[in-house]
Amino acid sequence: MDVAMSPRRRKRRRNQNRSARGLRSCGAIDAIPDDALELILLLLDSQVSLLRAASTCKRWRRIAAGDAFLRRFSSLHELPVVAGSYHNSLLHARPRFVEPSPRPTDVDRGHFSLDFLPDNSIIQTRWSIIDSKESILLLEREDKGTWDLIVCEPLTRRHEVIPPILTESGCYLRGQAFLLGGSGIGMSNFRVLCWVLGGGRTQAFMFTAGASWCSMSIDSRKRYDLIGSADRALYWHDGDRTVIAVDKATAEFSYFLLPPGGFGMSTEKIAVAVGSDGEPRFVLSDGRANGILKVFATAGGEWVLQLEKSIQLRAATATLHLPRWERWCFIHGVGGGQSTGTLRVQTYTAGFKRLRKFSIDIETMKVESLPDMYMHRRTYPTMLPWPPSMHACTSDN
Amino acid sequence: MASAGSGDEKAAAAAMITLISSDNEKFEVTEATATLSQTIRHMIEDGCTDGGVPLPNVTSKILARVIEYCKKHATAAAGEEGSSSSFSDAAFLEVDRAFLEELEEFDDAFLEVDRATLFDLILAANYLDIKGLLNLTCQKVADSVKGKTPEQIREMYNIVNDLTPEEEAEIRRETQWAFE
Repeated sequence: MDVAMSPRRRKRRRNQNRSARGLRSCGAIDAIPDDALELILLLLDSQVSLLRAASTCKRWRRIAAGDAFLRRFSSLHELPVVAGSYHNSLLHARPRFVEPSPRPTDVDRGHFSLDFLPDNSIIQTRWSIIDSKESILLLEREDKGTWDLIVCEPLTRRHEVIPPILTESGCYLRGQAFLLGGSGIGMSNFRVLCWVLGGGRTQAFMFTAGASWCSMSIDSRKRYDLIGSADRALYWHDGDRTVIAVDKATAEFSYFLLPPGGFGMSTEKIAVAVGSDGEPRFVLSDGRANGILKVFATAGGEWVLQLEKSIQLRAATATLHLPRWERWCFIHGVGGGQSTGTLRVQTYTAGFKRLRKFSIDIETMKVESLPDMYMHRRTYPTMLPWPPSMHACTSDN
Repeated sequence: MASAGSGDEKAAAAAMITLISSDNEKFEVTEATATLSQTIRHMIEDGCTDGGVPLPNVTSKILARVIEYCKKHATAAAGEEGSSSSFSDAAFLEVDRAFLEELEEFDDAFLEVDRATLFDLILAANYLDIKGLLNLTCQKVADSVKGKTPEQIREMYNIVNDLTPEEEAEIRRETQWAFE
């Protein structure tokens, strides 16, 4: 009973405190107590309105900049908000920003222009986006023998040039770079992973915001090829049964063995997709036109065969009017509008001439044709920075 | 103010509470109406409502509006509980929907007040701990801020800008994108 009484007592005491102050507002918002003003700010329609309200006076700013307040605001509004997406364009000097309709925010689109990216009159090539996470972008620029990387937050115009990885002889080491970081990623806590393949060997490097590259210890005698990306991790395959997974939020490396598929484990016959539950699925195929697909899911740390299906790929693609093809393999990549549960597939003729791309749904085995320019149209969604930086005039509290 | 309306008569027979405003006006309301206020609910539970509940911080003008709100919303709550047995599910849902629409219209009309009254209602709702009314009135203020610049918000609510020009410039620099 004591336990039940105590919060109420406390509440009543608070109310008595209020009554001591008197309750005529005289039409001024200054008379509104902090907890009611906090509620008003919580009920604001958007993050932009909050930032504007938080710069009217010190009291409003103090309430709006509190960590607990921002957490509550975030749980009442679906945050962070996707403001639009970028895509690389061969026709323009910088990646293009596209807003959905209706516009999800009232932020002027001029703020997304990336006009702050450093230019170099000697280097004529363009910056291209290669990865994005929340409000942060990773861009690369390649020119004769050099490879530059930059991480930026378009709206705040903050950017950090990532120094090159140099070999002992001073050459630029080039690889595939990925932006890593959990929810709330910002310019102060991002990581960049660089995966360098060459001569049947693999080297991995990790860059931490504000610090420098460090070499990751992996079995460099093998070549690990990217076989896909799920919501939470990236996966590389050694051409046999070993897979390295890198957690996108924590940047932790883990190794595991694939279950024996019963047929050759070459990288082009293995892929990772995201199941409808958000968990990864490993898909093995025998690579034949009318062959078998095996779909594995994790259960208690073990890989379990979830589905084994013979797929009549030639028959399934008959309606797509594809040119005559002999072979097919998985296309490995990251993102690019790949929907849940689907894998991208490419067909070849015997002479290894690339033909058509299509997608397979690993749950229904439904086949759909992909447009020819598919790989060029990868889009990079970008979000408004959340929590917003509100250090100015709040640090004295 | 004491007339409870036909729907409330059963409840009225059970218990009436007297609320006393700061200017000493007495309002007799049903317990169901009064207990929308958590503050008054706790007083009733503790048995300290004999001889009326003095509310020294709420004027008769504001208390009358607050009671108007509580009556409408208490009836709504009672309606939901009472009618479930007498209607089929479909009919009940229909009645429910109509009732909610009516309640929404009532809320909209209720908020047609000047700014001073709106703030007084927020203060009263906060003091009396009436969640629905506090949300309703605070939402009205929040909606009025939408799309406004900091200057416009200050002007609208007579907020004194106690930030120095340097501080303001610093804030602008930090989140420039939100301001233009």
